[in-house]
Amino acid sequence: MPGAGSVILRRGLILLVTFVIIVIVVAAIVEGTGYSKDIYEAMIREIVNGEVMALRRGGNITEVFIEQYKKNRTHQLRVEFELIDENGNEIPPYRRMWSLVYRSLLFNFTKTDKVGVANVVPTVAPADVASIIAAVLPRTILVVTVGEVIAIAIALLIGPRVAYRHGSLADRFTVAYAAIITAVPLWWLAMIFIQVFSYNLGWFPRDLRGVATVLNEFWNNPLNNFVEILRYITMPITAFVIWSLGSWLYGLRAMLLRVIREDYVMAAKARGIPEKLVTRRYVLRVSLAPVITSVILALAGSIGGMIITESVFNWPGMGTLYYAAIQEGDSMTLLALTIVYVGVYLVARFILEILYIIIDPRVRVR
Amino acid sequence: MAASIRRSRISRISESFKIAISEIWRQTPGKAALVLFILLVAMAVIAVVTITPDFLVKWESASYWEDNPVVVPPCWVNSLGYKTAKTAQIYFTTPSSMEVSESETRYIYTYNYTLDVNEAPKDLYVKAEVPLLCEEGVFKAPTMRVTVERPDGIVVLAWDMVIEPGKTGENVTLTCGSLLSAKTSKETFRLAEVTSAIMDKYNITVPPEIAGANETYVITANSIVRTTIRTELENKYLTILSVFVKPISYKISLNRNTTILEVFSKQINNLKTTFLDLGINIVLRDKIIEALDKAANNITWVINNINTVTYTDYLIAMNNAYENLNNVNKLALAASAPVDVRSSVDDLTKTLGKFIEVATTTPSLIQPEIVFDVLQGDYRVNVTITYYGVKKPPRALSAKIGIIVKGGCYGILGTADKGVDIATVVLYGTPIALAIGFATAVASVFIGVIAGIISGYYGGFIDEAIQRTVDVLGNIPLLPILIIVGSVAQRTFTGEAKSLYIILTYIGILIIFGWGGTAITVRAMTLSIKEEPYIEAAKALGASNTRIIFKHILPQVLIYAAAVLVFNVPGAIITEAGLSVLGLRHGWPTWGSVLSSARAENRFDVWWWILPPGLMLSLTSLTFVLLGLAIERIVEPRLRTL
Repeated sequence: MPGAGSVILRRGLILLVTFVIIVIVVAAIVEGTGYSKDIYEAMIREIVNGEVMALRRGGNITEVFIEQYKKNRTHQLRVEFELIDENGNEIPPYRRMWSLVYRSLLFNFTKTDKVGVANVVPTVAPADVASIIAAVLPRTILVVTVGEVIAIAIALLIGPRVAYRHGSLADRFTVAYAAIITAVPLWWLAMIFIQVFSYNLGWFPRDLRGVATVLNEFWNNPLNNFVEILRYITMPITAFVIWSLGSWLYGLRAMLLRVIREDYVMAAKARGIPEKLVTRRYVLRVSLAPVITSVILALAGSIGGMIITESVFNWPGMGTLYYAAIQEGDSMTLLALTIVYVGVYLVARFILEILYIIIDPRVRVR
Repeated sequence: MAASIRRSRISRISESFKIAISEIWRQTPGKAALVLFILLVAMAVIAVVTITPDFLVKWESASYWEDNPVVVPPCWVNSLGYKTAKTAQIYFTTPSSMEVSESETRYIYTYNYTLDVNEAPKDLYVKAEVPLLCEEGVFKAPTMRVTVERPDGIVVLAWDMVIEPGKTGENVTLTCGSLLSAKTSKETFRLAEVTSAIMDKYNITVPPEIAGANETYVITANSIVRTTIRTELENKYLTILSVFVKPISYKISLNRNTTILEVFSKQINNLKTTFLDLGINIVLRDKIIEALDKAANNITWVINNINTVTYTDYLIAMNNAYENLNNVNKLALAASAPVDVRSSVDDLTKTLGKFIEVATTTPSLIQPEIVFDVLQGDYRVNVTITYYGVKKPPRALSAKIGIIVKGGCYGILGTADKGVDIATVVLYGTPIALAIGFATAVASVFIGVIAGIISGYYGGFIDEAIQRTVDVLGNIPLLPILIIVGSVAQRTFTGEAKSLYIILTYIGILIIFGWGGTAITVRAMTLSIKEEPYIEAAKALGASNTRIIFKHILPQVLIYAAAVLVFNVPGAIITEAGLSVLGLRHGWPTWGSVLSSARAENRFDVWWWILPPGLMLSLTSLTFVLLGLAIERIVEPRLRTL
């Protein structure tokens, strides 16, 4: 399939270029507004103060020396962080940003000393930002993927039944459900869930932060921990499924209604092929490609919705890390999260597009 | 001529608008959407008309809501079976009555408060702003007395204070008529008097069979009871709330545990053996033994009569034992007994002295058990402002007196942290939400329509550029960009308009990323319209590009654009709220900010805090989704069968 290969390659290239563009734009924004300069200045102050403290503990050092040391070291570090050049002239933002772009593309971020941010893993501050994100990212991917798979499965199960009974009570109920549930913000649904299921009924923990330890020590006692994880994960996944099912059902139903009226479906039915088989072979198979398209298009929305929802549940994934970083004013982590989020999103999109090409022969031929 | 054409165009537009509305009204969802939409707009209009200019700035400060109870449900919950005391915030500008005598002038402000549930209010205080009167050049500052007439007939003098000019602030130059302000507090509450009043009214005294006959000890016993009640009122009813309680049962008993007495008696006997073994002056030794015997007898008497002994007799016996031990001390010194023996006598004496002291000052021997409960009924709060020596008192005193009873419920939607009135914020959040939604939707659809038409009509290089831009934009996830730019905006913008700039930044980003979808569809529509024969005819007649676009393409695109616009409105509103919940707060009273504070305080258990703003968000969103669906059905008649 040379066609498929080149299509994939082209899509990959476009997504890669998009990623580079985003990194450059983000770097330009944070450098142009002085946002990143604040980060570096704060880091330099911290390093210098730490060293001065160590010097003082060593004892027998004059204040004059310390002042001199502070000055020299600050200068040295500013050069190191590329805030100024060797001669002490300030490097303008439009030149400085390229080193940020370079480091971001390599996912090379500095450490964070914010306890609140490190606690999401949990680990001890100061901790490497990249490794913090690497620890929490799978937890987000877990919820989004499992939720998405369950939602699609339910939609594929219910969708055809509803579409066949077009205009029935079940059909109208589905449409109403879709209209109402898509109007509700997922993270607000999460708040209601916490109130009802955690506070009023006491079925689930009020705060899902505790799942971090269970996940980190999963292999100590897999069976027990699996049950424990279920206790934590049920609420976020249920909320996610209930919410995303709305748009799934609506989209799938519209798609199926269009396909069901096609001549070849009629012909298949006329040939006496059982309805189940017609559904599976003639209807669903054809509808699958557009379904994948809508997964791709809805991906940003569902990940985004889940990020905010996670922070509401205090599920220790990307969303809670975002919340912690915003609360602590941790700009470095925020910047790193932005880059990683965009990267992960584009990779997910790329994977789905490959899947799309495999499923839809028309693309291969094109 | 031109005017008539314009008029006819306007009438045509209004005509088609009317048709569109009636088309929407014919559909059930459309009907619901229109009703909801009108309600939303009505709320927004009310909010814009009633909002005070300082609200946007001050609404997050605790002092703005200081008269509100904190995190309480709305008052209508009482009809659902909740039991909450009502909240009263009464501000007087004219006195209820006035009394003038030779030497003083009294202005009285009266408020009647009914407590009809078994729950005490959370707070009670009086705020006063009163003028400084002058009499022949001499300033006359008033006093303020706050009395509460309770349903049980007790009149409690809760506060009695001089409103001092000094309290207005250091740098204020006083003139005749300048306002002095005062606020009652827990510290100035006259708890001692309230305690006495309650004790008198409910006859809380130590019964004679417990107290005994000695007048001093009876007074001591009663003062221990008084202190106990006071402490209870101070701790359990936060001092001020003692106004609203009554004792429902009390029991005052004497501690009849003899363990400590037995220890005393054993130690005295030990001393006795010690002294018997000592080789000291025999006469003095006998006296010491005699005194020790007496002390032991005193204590044994109490032990033997423990079940009938009174407080008076108990303490008299203990005091006697103490005196006898003191005597032993002196005799031991005279007999030059060894130091260690003398110090053990001294220690025992001191311990006994301590025991007596504790027994006369704390509820250790006299043990009152008093149970308080809320006193229901009608209360009357009187605030009396008295000026002394003012000969010509003003009839209308330009004073402002506030009587605040913080109850267990507030308003129609309850309160959040800091006493924030949720109803107010939800109301004032409406126009902000609609403005954010419409600004974003209108701008992005506008850009999308223009870009789409240009792209489709002119084609070529411009088309390619626009399409590639849309491609790249469509590949970018919006949320991380919004978060990083939002946090940059939070740090970059300063000053009064900070909130506005942050929101404008969000809107800007949403517009930049929002026009792509519209552009693609409009481009496709333009491409197909362009091929129609009547366009060719128009071109043949010499119509310019502008004319074709405005006359033939735009009108057809606009109806579709209207549907997209309506669909796009809720997205921006929910995004803004979501960012607030994620912690990126801008400082304006929006629905998202209420939910954000619930997240920050971790109070998802408070339904009245999270339901109203979330419902508003969902209903607004639903309104526009339904409206969009209805418009879409008009635009695309094929959809009607789906």
